[in-house]
Amino acid sequence: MSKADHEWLAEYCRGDLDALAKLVEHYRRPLYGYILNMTEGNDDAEEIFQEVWLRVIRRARFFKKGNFPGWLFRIAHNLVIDRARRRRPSASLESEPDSYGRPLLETIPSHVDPPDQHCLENELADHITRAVRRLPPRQREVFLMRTRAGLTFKQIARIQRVPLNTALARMHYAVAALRRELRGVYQEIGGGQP
Amino acid sequence: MKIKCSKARDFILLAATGELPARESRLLEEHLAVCKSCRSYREQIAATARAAEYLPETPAGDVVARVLAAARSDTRRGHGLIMPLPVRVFAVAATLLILAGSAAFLALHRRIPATPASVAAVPAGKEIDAELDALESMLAMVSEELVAPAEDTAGQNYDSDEIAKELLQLEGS
Ligand SMILES: [Zn+2]
Repeated sequence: MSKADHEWLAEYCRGDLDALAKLVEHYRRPLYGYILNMTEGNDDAEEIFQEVWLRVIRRARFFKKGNFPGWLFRIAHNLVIDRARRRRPSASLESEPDSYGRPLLETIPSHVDPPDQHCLENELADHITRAVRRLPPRQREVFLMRTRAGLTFKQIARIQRVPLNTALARMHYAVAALRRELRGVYQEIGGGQP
Repeated sequence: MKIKCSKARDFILLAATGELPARESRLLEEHLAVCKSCRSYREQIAATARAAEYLPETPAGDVVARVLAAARSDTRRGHGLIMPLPVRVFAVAATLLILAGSAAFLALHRRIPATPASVAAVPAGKEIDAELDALESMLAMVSEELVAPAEDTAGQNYDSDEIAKELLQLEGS
């Protein structure tokens, strides 16, 4: 983008809806991809996508200068967790913790089928998608934020509220797990030793 | 000074995001020059990134239009653009008050963060941590909308001291 994110946002605050359109479009694929691959339903993903932007819109004035993608993806991260909480009422603060005492993000299903087969380009994409969605949620989130959203590890660590080395460790686990699952695929898409 | 493979692999990840300070970059280069296994790991990470490009991420075309329509009606309701100053001041003050109280609670109760080894498997008996996680994310939801993180504007070397410090701790552990 020619302008910095905060400048687009400032223009939107002055009433220019086109500036917002540019921002939404710029982050459309990485943000939607993150949400879609963290959740299991296509409709759900669109709803969360819209809610993220509504929150951005409502707080746009408070955003001065700074790390816009970090802010954007933190909002998305919280909505994904919130969704998991709504789907598991037993995980509310007032009730007994779940029998494993698991943090909420851990309760997002790991074994999820791709929602809409028609969206998947081909078998290869299908295979990769399944492998990524089998990753434990926290690892999957680090992986998506890094490879698709282009966030730095420092930004990811802040969003997950963990030390930097934890975010790095999660990426290492994800890389190792995907390597096991995608041996053949790596050769097919070029590079990487199986 | 030589570095171990485990550290070199952290450095490989950080180098790709521009987060590796210059001194550590030199150490990494020295290591890669003599370590075939880490060179192959760097290849693996590149292959993983290429694989990620195959993930579905395209929303239906009109989702952007729906966001803009919502923005338009939000503006008419006076949510985003024309919130009067006193209302904003009050909103911020109220949130800060909540945050201050909750932060104090967390500071008192938060335990040492999980170590990397414990990341994959979450043992039972971590109920308090789970609750605190939930509380923290609730807090984050309030704070994220008012206080955007101020960082990353100075270029790639932001906070390199802090990263170096964390890496040092990593080494010590
Ligand atoms: Zn090595």
